[in-house]
Amino acid sequence: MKIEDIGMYPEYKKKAFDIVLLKKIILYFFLITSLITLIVNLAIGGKMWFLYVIGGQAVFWFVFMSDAMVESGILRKVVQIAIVVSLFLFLVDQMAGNSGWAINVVIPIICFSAVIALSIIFFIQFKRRLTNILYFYVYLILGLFSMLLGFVGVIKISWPWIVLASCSLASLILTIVLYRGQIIHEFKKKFHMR
Amino acid sequence: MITKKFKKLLNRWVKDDDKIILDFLEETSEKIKIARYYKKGIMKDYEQIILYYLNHGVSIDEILNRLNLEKLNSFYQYKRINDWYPLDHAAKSYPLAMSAKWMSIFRVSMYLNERVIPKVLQMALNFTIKRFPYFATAVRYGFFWHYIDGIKRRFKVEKEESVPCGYMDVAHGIHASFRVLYYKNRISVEFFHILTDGSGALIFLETLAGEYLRLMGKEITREVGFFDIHEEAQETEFENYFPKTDKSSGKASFVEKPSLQIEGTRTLVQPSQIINFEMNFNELKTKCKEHGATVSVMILTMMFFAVKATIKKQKIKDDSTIQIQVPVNMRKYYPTRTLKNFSMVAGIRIRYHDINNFDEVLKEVDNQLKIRNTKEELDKIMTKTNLLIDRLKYVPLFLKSLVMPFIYPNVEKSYATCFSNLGVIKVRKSMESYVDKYDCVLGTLVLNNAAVSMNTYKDKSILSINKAIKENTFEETILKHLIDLGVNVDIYGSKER
Repeated sequence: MKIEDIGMYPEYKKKAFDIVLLKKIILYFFLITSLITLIVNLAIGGKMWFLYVIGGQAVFWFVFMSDAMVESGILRKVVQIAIVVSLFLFLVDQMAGNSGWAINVVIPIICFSAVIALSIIFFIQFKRRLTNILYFYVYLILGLFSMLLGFVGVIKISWPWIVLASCSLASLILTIVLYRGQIIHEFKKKFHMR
Repeated sequence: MITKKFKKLLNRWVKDDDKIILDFLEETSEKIKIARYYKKGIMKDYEQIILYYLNHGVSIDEILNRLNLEKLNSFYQYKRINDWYPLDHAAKSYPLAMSAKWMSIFRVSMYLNERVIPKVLQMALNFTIKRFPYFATAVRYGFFWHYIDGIKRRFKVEKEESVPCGYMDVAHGIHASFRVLYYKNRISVEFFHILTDGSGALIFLETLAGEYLRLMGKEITREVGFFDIHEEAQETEFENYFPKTDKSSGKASFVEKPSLQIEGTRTLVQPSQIINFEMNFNELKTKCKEHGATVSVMILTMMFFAVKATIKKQKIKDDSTIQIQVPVNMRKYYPTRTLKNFSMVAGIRIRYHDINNFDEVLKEVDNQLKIRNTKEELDKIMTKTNLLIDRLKYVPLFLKSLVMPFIYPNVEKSYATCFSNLGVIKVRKSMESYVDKYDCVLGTLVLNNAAVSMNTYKDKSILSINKAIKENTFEETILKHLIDLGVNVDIYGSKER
């Protein structure tokens, strides 16, 4: 509607850079390229190399593009990156003949590095990061769970897995010893059902 | 924390008495125990307002009186451990339904008779927010539901430069779910709907403006029925009243028939335009009475014709209907002081083919509103909401978050638009002469292309239309009907996009 009196609202400035639009463009680009590689791969046959492309794009998306709409933060990002990169490396190893370099060496090294990084951030900025404790704890529990996988023979127990489990256990105990009260209170909030 | 520049300027204004002010600021600084960055901000706010006062010839005694230290209370001390709140039942869906481009936001604005002074408004917000600890919060992610957690920071007033009800970044731990904006003589408060509804927003705005006017040196008195920033917040002000409501009326159906929608081309930036129709309340009321209708019924009827006028391409069946939602403040049925969301919606639905004769539609809208806007009918919807929340409470939030963005637009499909009438707004007697008018803007929805709200302050009724599309048929039809009714309409708003 043509309005004469527009003085009560400011002249809106156009955003120079629209991140939502950029993300949309990248997402569509990824979808199209994934589809093309799938078709080409099926047409020429051979190994399913299109999975490398999709996996690579997924890693790029989760590392650089995706962000939470509520409670985004560095702890969440580190957990997300560590999980996505680990899955991608597992895929690459599987595709390249399953020699076990990913599951036995590289993935546990990435995981324990992430545990160390998460612990440093959590303890240094405890007050600020307490609210992200769920991500931190889920990751520590996954680290401990790896030992269980080792005992039942799903993975081969090697030194990186042992380091990962030890780091996870140490961090878990340290948080409980140092901040038990605050963590219990935070968990009451996180698990409320009202 | 006191800057050298301020000391120098202060010395220039008050050569001998600067120590009184500096001592006052030192004492203030000791009382603020929040992160250094925010503390610095608040201290700067003090410096700026003191210089403003001195510049306007306010005496030192008066300055100290206006900025009395008690105003800070203990709010800017360290965080209280129990300063967190679960969301009310209506609010639970909002963070689940939000996307990277859309979230449910609304705004209420107060137009003063004089231009707003930003530094005074900033100080008014610093003082007012402590009365509303429930608003001084950030959204958090729980395992089953979102919740809001108290944050200790300086909440900043901003100059209005963007679209009304634009996206609000609540992703980071320290970001609040509301913003206070100023533009010329208008103070606006925009809320993410998880915090409150129109009633709560109006209370906050009235309290903020009252404090602003007091800081401007106006004689603003305390009055029963209005919030006083010196009082402690009561627990009843942030209770979730939904579970306490009457369940005896049964429950409404979960499934609703889809409605025809307002047609148009969506603009890239939302909303595309805000249009305000300003009318004389007495004139409007008299004209509506001549037709035997209330103002709400009259506007709703016009809206049905406006929606119909936009429909060109949709497939019309014999039983196709248009539904308009009317939010109803449930506080009129339940004795609660809650600031949380406590409203339900009454749906008025009319067959497309029956929207021909104005008087007949008017009668039908009146009948339906009388039936739907009753405690029993609204209780049924409330019971439905309670049941849904009960059933979903054991489902982890990440699963709910995955599903909800697909469900929410389907809920919107059941209605074409909504009409929220905030009714007659009242402010403290001592404030009345400083306030010109109010307006209220509902944020754009995911699917619906327009939202309409209305309010009345003194003799001014303002109908605000927030649209998401380029086409003008919807608002032009309403305007045509208002003119046909014989009401004088002043039109103002934002530029078309």
